[in-house]
Amino acid sequence: MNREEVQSILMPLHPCALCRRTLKQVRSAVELAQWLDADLHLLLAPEADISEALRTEKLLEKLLPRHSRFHVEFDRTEQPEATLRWAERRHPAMVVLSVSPAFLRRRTELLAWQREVLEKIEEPVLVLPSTMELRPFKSVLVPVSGERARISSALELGLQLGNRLRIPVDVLHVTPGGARRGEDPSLLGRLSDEFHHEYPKLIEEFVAESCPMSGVRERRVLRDTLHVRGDTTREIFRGIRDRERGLLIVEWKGSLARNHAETVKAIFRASRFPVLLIKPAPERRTTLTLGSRLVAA
Amino acid sequence: MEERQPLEERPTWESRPRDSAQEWARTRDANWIVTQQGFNPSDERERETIFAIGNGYAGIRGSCNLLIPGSQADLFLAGVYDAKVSEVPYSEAEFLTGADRDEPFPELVSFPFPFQLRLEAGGLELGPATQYLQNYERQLDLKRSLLFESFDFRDDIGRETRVRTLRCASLRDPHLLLHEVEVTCLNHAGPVSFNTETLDPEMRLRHPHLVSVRQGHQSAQNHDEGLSEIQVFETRASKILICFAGRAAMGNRELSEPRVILPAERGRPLRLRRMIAIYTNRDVADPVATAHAHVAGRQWERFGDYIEEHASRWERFWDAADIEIEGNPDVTGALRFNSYHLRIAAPEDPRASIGARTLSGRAYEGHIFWDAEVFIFPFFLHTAPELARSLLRYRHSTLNGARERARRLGCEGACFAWESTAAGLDATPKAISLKGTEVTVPIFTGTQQIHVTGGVAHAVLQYWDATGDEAFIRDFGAEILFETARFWLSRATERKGVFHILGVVGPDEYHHGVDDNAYTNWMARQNLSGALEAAEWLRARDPARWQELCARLKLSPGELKRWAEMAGRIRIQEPRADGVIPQFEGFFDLADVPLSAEEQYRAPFERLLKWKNVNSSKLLKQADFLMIPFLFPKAYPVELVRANYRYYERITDHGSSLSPSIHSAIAARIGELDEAGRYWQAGLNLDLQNLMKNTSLGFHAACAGGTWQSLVFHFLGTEFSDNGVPPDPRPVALPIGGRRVRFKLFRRGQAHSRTVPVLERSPAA
Repeated sequence: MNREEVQSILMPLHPCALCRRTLKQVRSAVELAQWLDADLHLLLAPEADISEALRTEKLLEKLLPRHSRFHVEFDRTEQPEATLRWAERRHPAMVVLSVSPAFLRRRTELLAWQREVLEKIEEPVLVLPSTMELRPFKSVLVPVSGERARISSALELGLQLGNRLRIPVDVLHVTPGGARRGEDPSLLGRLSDEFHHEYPKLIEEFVAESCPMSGVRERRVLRDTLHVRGDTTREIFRGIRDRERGLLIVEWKGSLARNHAETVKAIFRASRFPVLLIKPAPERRTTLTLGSRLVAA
Repeated sequence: MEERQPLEERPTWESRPRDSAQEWARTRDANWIVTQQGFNPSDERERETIFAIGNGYAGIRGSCNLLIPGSQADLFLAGVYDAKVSEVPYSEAEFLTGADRDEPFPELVSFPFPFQLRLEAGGLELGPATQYLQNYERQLDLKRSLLFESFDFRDDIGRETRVRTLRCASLRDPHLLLHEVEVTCLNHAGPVSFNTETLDPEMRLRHPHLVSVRQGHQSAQNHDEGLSEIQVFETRASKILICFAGRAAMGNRELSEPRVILPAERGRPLRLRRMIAIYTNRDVADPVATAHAHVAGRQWERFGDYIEEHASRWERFWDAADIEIEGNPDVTGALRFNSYHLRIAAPEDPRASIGARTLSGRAYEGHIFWDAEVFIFPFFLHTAPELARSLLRYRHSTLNGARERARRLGCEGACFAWESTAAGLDATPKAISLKGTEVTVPIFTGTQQIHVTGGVAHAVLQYWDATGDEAFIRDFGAEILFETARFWLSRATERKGVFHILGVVGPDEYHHGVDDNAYTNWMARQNLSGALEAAEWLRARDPARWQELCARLKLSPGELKRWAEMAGRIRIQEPRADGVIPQFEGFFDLADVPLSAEEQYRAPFERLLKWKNVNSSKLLKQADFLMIPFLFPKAYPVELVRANYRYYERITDHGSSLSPSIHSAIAARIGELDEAGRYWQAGLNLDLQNLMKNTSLGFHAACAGGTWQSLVFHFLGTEFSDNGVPPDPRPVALPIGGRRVRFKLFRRGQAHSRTVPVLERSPAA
């Protein structure tokens, strides 16, 4: 997401899926765009009939609040290509996918194109269960793995949204309950020397490493860091349940294949809250040498 | 050792006026250079520590000149502290405010980064995290303490711009910083904008201790004539006034303000040079006038000479302090890295000392711990004794704070605070509350960890023995010894003729409220004996001074007699049948805790929350009893040391960076060379490889000092004879490889060169 400008949000719609429920979701997306001071672009694809698109636009104008900033576009191309191409050209701040809980739960009524959008698109995707209507977010929750010295795209995005929406951001760090001490990825796992000095500073450093392109002012929306040992998925659920109207942002690698993204799938199955998915930032390699010795890479 | 090109043969500034300092200033030997290739914003905090520069007066983190938003680009000044500011709500646990610490100014002040740079070329702002960065390199020349950076940018239409920078915190002139920036438009021409203004719009957030009193430049006011920039700050609570006065020039043209736009010709470098003077009202009555005059008195044509003079001082340091392991450049390099960081932290100002994380990071708030005397001091004692003296002068200058602490503990004399800053009052918090848990974890170290007092006295005695500096003992050392001896006597409980020291925390901080900690009592005994020795010496050597001290401190013969009684009858823990000595009274009755190998070095956070359970178990945070044979290698026969090492090592989880060096030393002593080598390498590389994942918080000075001691005194077995000259070194077996170890040690005013042959590995003696 561009720091300075959140100009556009894309919501792809399949014409066959247009119904009262979907239109309610569009209303949610419009409001989201409003909160972010952005334009919502509704992409009807595949749609060969421009008149259908215009009818849809007129219908939405009637249903949505006045002065809503949305544009209805159409593309003859099939999904997901239409959405992927639009995103590649126009780089929306995020993509909103209204997803049927049936798809999320059973995956038998798979909307394949939505799955492909999820897996292939680079932009953040807000997955909105179609039974839900969005209300203004009151906080952001970002689970982090505790892995050091890497950018957390989820936390970066969380800070941007937190600042934009003027809502607090909480970080949730879960150490898997089954991890052996030797494998403990907890960022506090190596607590050393004087804890009253190390502990606060380690957390601050972790945040700074995770979002190095956010300055002190941006990080002021951070409210709490929560350290929990337990089942990652359960703790995330607990965390979002404890936050009325919280927005969950999850970094994921972008694959829904077997044995991948189990936490994301669990969130989909629950269908109880929206989740904003974002892919990891590209890694930058550096080396550190002393003389001819490679010290770190 | 590398042959040094004599200063007079080096190209001077005058002979190469057109050349960038970056061309000729760099050490030729790559083994002295730490290099980062590529830029990863996530790494930046860690690298800022690794690439820090300093001169003991100022420490400046090695931040990229072109800052990123998350940089912690700080400058610190030794001895400049202010009231604690909790500015980070999501990480600062609720801990008690300054009102609950004795020390009103417990936090080291951070200052804006003096080397920050904003550059635009071809209308594009150049930054390291942009997609336009093609190549990046950052190099720290350890030998000359110079930091270089090189950036290559290419924009969307192929315009290539190269930026190179050099920065220096002069060791020759601690109040002077030097900066050179060179920008070359390689294949284009056009305006280049330089902005070196140090005033930070986010200053209130980034540097919360500071109030900007004045900022300006030449065009602003007469008083700023000749300056490109002036910044005057005052600390909010401690009211220290600090002035940064800067001059800048492009070629022959002096600049009148920190921003300038110049036309660049294709392929022709634009070179900006800056000189910045720093003064505080701790240094001089009028820091503004002094800083102004200081920088105004510098000459641009001598810019290169200032770098050379600085480098010359560093050469002198390395001549004394370098350790070369012939045949092992990797270990040699790591030793140099650690020694470098120790040197840049060492103040010549006797009102300051070396904090736990030096002047390279905000962690530990710049507090001075026992690290300074027990771990760091010996390095300087034998490589730069004048700096060792300065470290001890800090303790003398804070004696009143130590007296106050003793009084607050209900004792007499002087008890040095566990954590101290400028005044020597206790800066240790009393408790830490964890948000959202309703858990409050008490901190016992402030009131119970009193062995630091013995450590200071031990350092005084070491200094006296190593230097024969009678003036120091007369003017400063004796008073420290007398007041601390007095403290021990008042702190002790006498039962049936035996003196006990009850309710303490030893070096192992998992246990509090323990009685007769072996290390604490040992150090107390040393302290008392040393005080008696000093008294006898002073009475004979300088009766007038002796009388003056007796009168001022109200010392009586009866009191000295009591010191002798306590020294003779203090409870010193005895070994049990298997030779193991209890860490404190009742230690063997505590619950056993099996500690798997993987739990060592990974002290889990739960230890903090379950402090009561930990207190009643045998689990150790770090070396405690083993500190005795570390500091006093002849205290016990090797068989007893072996028994205790084997007992305690396996129940230590090394929750402290102070632990590896001690264990390496003792393992070496008892012939466990493989284990000694593993621990030693862990200590040696702790920050270079960021082994504890917290190097970003600042350099671990105690670990570096302990690692040095472990090598010199334990692996190499260096000892001193009565006349001060170390015996000829015997060949030793080292687990780290190499053919010979070459180093120097100062002793009684003489530098003794040592070359120790290294044996091929042989069984333990």
